[in-house]
Amino acid sequence: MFNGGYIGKILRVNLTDGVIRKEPLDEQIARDYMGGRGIVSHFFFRELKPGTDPFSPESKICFMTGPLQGTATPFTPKFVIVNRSPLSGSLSRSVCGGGAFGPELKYAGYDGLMVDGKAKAPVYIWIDDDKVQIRDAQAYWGKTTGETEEGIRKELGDDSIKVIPIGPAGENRVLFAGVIPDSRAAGRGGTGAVMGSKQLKAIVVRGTGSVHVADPKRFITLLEEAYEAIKADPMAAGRIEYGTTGTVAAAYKAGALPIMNYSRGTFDGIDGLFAETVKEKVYVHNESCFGCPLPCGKTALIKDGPYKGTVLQGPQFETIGLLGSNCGVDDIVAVTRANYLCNQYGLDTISTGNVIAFAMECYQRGLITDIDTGGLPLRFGDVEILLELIEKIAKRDGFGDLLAEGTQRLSEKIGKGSERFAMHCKGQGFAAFEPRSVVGMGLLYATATPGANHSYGPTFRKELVDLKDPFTHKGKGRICRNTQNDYCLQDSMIFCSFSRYGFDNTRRLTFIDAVTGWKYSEAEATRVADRIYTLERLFNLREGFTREDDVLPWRSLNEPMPDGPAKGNTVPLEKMLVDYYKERGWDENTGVPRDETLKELGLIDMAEAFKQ
Amino acid sequence: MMNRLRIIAERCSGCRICELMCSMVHHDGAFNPRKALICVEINRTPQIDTPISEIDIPHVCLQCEPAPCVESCLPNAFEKDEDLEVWKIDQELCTGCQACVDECQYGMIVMDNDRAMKCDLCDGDPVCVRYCPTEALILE
Repeated sequence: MFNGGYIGKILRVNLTDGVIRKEPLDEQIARDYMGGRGIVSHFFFRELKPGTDPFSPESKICFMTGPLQGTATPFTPKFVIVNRSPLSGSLSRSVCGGGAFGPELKYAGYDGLMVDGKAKAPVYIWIDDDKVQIRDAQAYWGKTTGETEEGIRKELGDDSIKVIPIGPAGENRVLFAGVIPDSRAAGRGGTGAVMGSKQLKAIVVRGTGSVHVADPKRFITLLEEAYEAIKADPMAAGRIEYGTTGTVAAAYKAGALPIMNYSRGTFDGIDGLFAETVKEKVYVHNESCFGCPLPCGKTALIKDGPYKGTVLQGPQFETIGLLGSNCGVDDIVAVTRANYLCNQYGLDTISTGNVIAFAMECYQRGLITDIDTGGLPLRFGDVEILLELIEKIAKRDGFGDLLAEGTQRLSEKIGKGSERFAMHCKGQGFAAFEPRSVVGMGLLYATATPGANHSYGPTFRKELVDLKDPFTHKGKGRICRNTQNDYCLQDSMIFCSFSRYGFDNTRRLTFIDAVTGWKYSEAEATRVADRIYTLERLFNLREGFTREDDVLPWRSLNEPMPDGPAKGNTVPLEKMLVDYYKERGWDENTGVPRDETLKELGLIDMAEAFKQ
Repeated sequence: MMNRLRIIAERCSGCRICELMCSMVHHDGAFNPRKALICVEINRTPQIDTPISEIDIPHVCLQCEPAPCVESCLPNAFEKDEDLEVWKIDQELCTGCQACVDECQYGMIVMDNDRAMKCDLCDGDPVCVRYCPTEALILE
C-alpha cells in the first residue's frame, strides 16, 4: 500500500488494437528502483524483447513520473521518457520539465503511461482523469509543436490541459527528433521519432484529482528548510540572473566549449555568446517550471530584424554550444532563431548542432561538395545555411534526409575517413562539452547508457572545481560512477539536476521520506543507483553491445587539442575505463557486470533469465 | 492592519507554487492547483509590445467591500472575520447553489465537493505569500 507520493497505477495503451489497461504499480519495484527512470528500466528489461526495432509496433515508449511529482517539493516539475533509442539501439531516457505534464498525469490518477503498438492513422492519446481515449490527429499531422498544442487546446475547449507534442521531425522519423512541449524538450534519444513511428502526435492530459504526501506536517518543515537553503545558496542568484548561460563562459575558460565540430579550443566570436550578451539581446522575463522556486528559464524575444517577434523559452547553454560555437556561429539572435525552429519542428538542438557541424567540417575538407549538399555551401558560421538545414532535416528534404540519420550514419555514408571526427558515442552525438579539456566527460560519454549524453552524470564541475585537475585520468572512474549514480537517483525520484542549489542527496532523501514514508539510508540509495545503472548495462549487453562500444571518436583520443587551455591534450580513455569498471564491479576486460555485483544488487535472477 | 494581498506581476515567473500550497492547506493536504483559491495566468508567447507585467499574472480574491458573492448568498453562508476584515464561507451552511460563483467577476470562488470556497487569507498568514519565491505577492 502506498502512503503518499505515488498514485499506484500505470496506464497502458496499445495503439494497434486500441486496448487501454490500468494496472497497479508494484510497490516492491517502486521501492527497489525509487521511481521514474529506475522503474522504467526494470519494465523495459523485463518486457522488451531483445532485438526489437525501435520503430516496430512491438517497441515501447514510457512516460513516467516519480513519487514527488505533483507535490510542492522544490525542483520536481519533470517527467522522464524512456525508449530504445533509434540512434544507438541502447536504452535511453530523456527528462523534460515542460508543460507541467508530469504533475498533471498524477492528478489524472497515473504514475506513468506505457505505449506500444502502432496506429493505422495519426492519433493522440487523451487522458481525462479515468476516461482515456485514442483520438484522431489527422488535422495536426504536419503541424509544428506550437500549432499542435494550440489546436488541441481549441479542439478540447480547455486552455488548462497539458499537451506533449511532436513536430514534423518526429513524424518523419528524424532519428534525433524530440518531444517538445512549451519550448522544453525531452530531446535526446529519439523520443519524437519513436512517437512518430507509432503515428502518435501527442499525449494530452487533464487531471482533477490530487497527490498527497505521507507526512504533511514534516513536509512543511522540510519545505521551510529547503526554501531557506535555496535562498542561502550563493550560486542560485547567478542562475536566476542568467539561466544556464553562465556555463558558456565557465566551459570556454576551461577550453571545454565545442567549437567548429570539436576541432579547437578558441573562438573569435565568443563574446557574442556570453551570458551578458544573451541577457541583453534576447532575454525579457524569468520563467519557472511548475512548482519550481528557482526561475532559471528565460523568455526570449527577438526584438528586431528578419526574425522579429520570435518568442520562446531559451536559448540555454547546450543549445548555444551546439547551434552556436560548434557551428561557428557567434550571433545569439541567430542561435535563438535556430533554437525556435528546432522547437517548432521538434528537433533536439544538441544532435542538430552536432550533425550540422560535422557536415560543415566534411564540406570544408572537401569530403562532400555542392553536388552532395544540393548546392548549399556548408561554411562554419553561415547563419542562413544553419537555419535552412534545420528545416531540411525536419522535412527530410534533399541533403537534410542524410543529416536526419544523425552523425554516425552520415559519416558512414560519406566515408573517406570522416568517422575520425564524427563526434558521437554509440550513435548519440556529443553534447556541449569537449572531452579533451575535461577528460571525465569523455569517460561519461563512453559509458553513458545511451551514448554521448551529458545528462547521464556530468563530471565537469567535480573535475574542475573540486579536483581542480580536468586532464588527469586518476580518480575519474570513481567520480564518473558517482555522478552517474546521482543522476540515476535524480531521474528516479525525478528531481531536476538544478536541485543542487541548496540541496544534496540527504535533503532529497528526507523529502522522499516525508512524501512516501519510505526511508532510504545513503548506502541504500547508492545501491539503488548502482542497481539501475547496472540493469541498464545488462539491457545494452543483451542488445549486443560490448566493451568495444565504450569508445570515443578518433579525434578525442588521438588528435591533440590544437589551442586554448587544453592545448596538446587528448582523452586517456583506456586508463579511465579500467578504473571505472572496477568501481562499478564490472569485469575490466569485458565490461560485463560480475556475478557478485549482480548478487549484491539483487539483479542475479534477472541476469540469469537473460542468459538463458 | 495588514490584511490585503498586493500583486507585483512583473516579478511573477509563473511557478504556481502559490496555487500548490493554497490547495494543500485548504484541502487537507491535497495538492492540485485546480483546487487553489488563487490562480496564475501564464502567457508563454508574449509579443514585443507586451508589458512584462502582463506575462505572468496572479489573480487573487480582492476581498471586495461590498462583496457581490456575499450579497448573492441566500442561505447566508458567508460570515465575516472581523479581525482580518475578510468574508469566509461556512461549509455547513453552503448549499452549493453556485450563485456566488456566478456573481464573482474575477472567478475567485472555487467549488469543491459541491461546496463553495474562497480565499480566507489563511488566518492572516497566507501561504501564497509565504512561499512565493519572487515576492510577487505581498501582504499589506
